[in-house]
Formats: sequence, C-alpha cells, structure tokens
Amino acid sequence: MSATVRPVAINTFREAVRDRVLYNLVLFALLMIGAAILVGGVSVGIVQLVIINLGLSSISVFGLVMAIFIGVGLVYKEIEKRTLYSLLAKPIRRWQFLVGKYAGLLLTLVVNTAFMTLGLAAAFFYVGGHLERADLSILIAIYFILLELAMVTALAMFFSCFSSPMLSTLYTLAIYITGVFANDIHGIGEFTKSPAVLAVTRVIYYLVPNFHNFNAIATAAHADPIPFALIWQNSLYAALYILLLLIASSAVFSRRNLK
Amino acid sequence: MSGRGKSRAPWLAIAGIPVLFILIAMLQAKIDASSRSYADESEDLLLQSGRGVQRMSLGYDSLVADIYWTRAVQYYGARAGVDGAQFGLLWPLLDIATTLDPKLIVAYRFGAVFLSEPRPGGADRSDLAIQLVKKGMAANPDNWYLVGDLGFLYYWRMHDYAAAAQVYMDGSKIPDAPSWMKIMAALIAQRGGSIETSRMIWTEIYNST
Repeated sequence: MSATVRPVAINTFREAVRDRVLYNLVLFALLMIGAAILVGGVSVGIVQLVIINLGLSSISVFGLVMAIFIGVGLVYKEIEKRTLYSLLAKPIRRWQFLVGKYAGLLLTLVVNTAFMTLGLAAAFFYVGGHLERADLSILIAIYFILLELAMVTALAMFFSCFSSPMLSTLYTLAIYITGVFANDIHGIGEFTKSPAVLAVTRVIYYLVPNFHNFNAIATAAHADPIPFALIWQNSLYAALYILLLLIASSAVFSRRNLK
Repeated sequence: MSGRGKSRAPWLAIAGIPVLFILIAMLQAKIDASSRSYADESEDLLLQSGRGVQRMSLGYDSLVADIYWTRAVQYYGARAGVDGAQFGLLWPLLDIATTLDPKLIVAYRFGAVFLSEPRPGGADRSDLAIQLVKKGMAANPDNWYLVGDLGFLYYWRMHDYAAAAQVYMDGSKIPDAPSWMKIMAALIAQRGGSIETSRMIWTEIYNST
C-alpha cells in the first residue's frame, strides 16, 4: 500500500473503532453463548450444525450491516463534515483517498470477522465439536463471506460518491438482493421461453454481482469439501468486480464538484 | 423542564420501565390466550411452500432449515401422545426444512418416524413418511441409512414385503452399505412379517443411531 493510501486506511479503521463499531462483537458473543446453551435443549441431532449455521450466518449478516451502513457514509461524511477539503489540500489524489477509505473499512471488517470466527470456534468446542480436516470448509466459507463483504463495501462506497447515505443504502441493498437471486433471475428467463425476456434476464445475470457464488454456509455446515477451483474463481471474480467498482467510484468522484 | 423534574427522571425510569415491561408481558399473555386458535389457522397458511421460504431466506437457507426442523420437533413434541391431537403442520414443516437444506439427514430420519407412528404417538401418515424418505434418498443417493428407513417403512408400516425386500436389495448396492441389508432383503422376501426379522431391524436401528 502506498504511503499516501495507508494513513487514510488506518485513520478510517481508527474512526470505526472510535465509533464503537466493534461493539457488535458483544452481541455476537451473546448470540453464540445463548445458542450454544439453548439449542441442545430444543432440537434433535443438529446442535453442532446449528452452531455452524448460526455462526456463519451471523458473521455474514453482521458484516453486511457494517459494510453497508459504514460504506455508504465513507465519502459522504467527509464531504458533510468538510474534512475532505483539508485532506485533498494535501498531496493525495482523489482515487488514493477512495482506495484508502475502502482499505480502512475492509480492515475493520477483517478484524471484526476474525473475532467472530474465534467466537464461533469457542461455541463449536463448547457443544462438543472437534476439528477435523473436513472442517476446513468452515474457514473457506468465512473467506467467501469476506469476499462478499469486500464487494458490498465497494458497492456502498460507489453509491456514496454521488448519493446521500439513505439512497445509497437503498441502492446497495437492492443490488445485493438482486445478486442473491441472480440464479433465479436467470432461471426465470429460461422458463418464459421468450427471447426478449431471456436476453434481459441474461444481461441482469451477468451485470449484477452474483452473491449466490459466495454462499458456502450449507456446504461448510455439512463438512462437505469445497472445490479448489471455486476458491480461486470466486477470489478472481471478487477482485475483478471490486476493481471495476473502484475504477467507477474514482471516475465519478474525480469529476465531482466539491465547491 | 425544571431542574427538579430532571433529577426525578432517572428514578422515574428505574421504577417505570420495569412496571411497563410487566404490563406489556401481561397484555401479551392475554393476546396469546385470546388468539391461540386464530394463530394455528394463520400459521397453516404461511407454511406451505418450501421454495417460497427458500427465496425469502435470502441465501441463509441452512440456518432457516435448522429453525424449521427445530419447529417441527417442538410441534411434534407438543402433540405426541395427546389424544385427538392434529399433526396437520408436521408435513409442511418437514418438507420446508428438507427443501431448504436437502442434506439435513436427521430431518428425514426422525421426520419419517414422527409421520409414520400410529396415533396418538404420531401423524399415522406412512405415505408421507415414505415420500419424505424418498426425497432424502434423491438428494443423498449415497446415504444407506435412508434406504434402511424406507425398507423399514415398507416392511413394518405398509406390510409391503416385496417392496421392502427390493429396497433393502437396492440399498445393499450402495458403497459402504452394511452386509445385513442383503440378509434383510433375503429374510423379508422369504418370511414376511416375522418377529425374528423385526427384532433384527430394531437392533440395527438401535446400534446405528
């Protein structure tokens, strides 16, 4: 990371910590402790399965909420508080500022996810789980969640460059939900047999980020192996999409009139 | 607001909030009591489509499946052994849980028991139990436990010995399937519903669960 980007990233991370963003870890810990104690009493034969499903789903939901709600304010807040002006007066380009902001939030999400992973591991061991080679899938599922969060953060920041936090949240959520249903949208096009509908759904399918690719929670919960090809393909997919969004964000932000 | 009013505010909150929570809880209990029958009916309308619930779960299918399975267990547990109890929601709950997570083996296996047990111990719907286990076999073709369960249902509940023998015979061809499956197929085909065979099935189920 360049010397101009790093301070922005570190300050974004510090700001998130100062804003008590990591307090959500307390809620996560309570959720896991509660689930570990309660689940055994109310269900049959799926205690460890529930702990893994609940843990991974919570990591995903908590991360998504953070990525969206902090991401949409990344640029907007700096403009509103007019802190951006003093920053841009320094020898830093607008795209470097954006990349720094993005990296800072990503660092926050990685730290948050790492702590939640420890919480999940603690709950898993508490209910009598023991790690086997097949449980490597859980770590891969968490890696996929992080890739998903990185994409959502880039999306939220893109909208943050030209829209208000409220609208940016709506746009990001809309694209996220469309991305979750990407395969269904594709399926609808094929089901209708109409060439026009098929063309439209196909364009949507390839245009929106396909978040369905990154959902490995069920696979991990059943300790099924995740193919290596999917790991590198998802990594590359996320990297390309994030690059595209950062370029688009930089293009929009560099043309934005800040007067 | 006056200074005196401000100083009272924390005490009002300390005393007032618990009282309000108690009042809300009492009111909720009253609402529950007056709308119990209505809730049962409306729940029935909400629970029919596994695919619908899958779409609403926004990718968290397996967690929602766990919740539905837990609900199915609670639903069955509240009714099992109660004379005149209805099990109308048991099948939709199991169907949704297994649609959301087709690898939730425990739901097929225990679900089939809940569905096939005669009343008042269960729903007395062996046809649905067979449907559930067949659904599980389609999603988990390498799982010989499910084949064993299907054979048991044909043999013990439906008394269809030919079908049971065929199921055990097919199951014995699954990799890692135990050798007793082939013996079961032979015994059922030869003898039909003998006590000796049933004891063998129960022993095997006891040892394998």
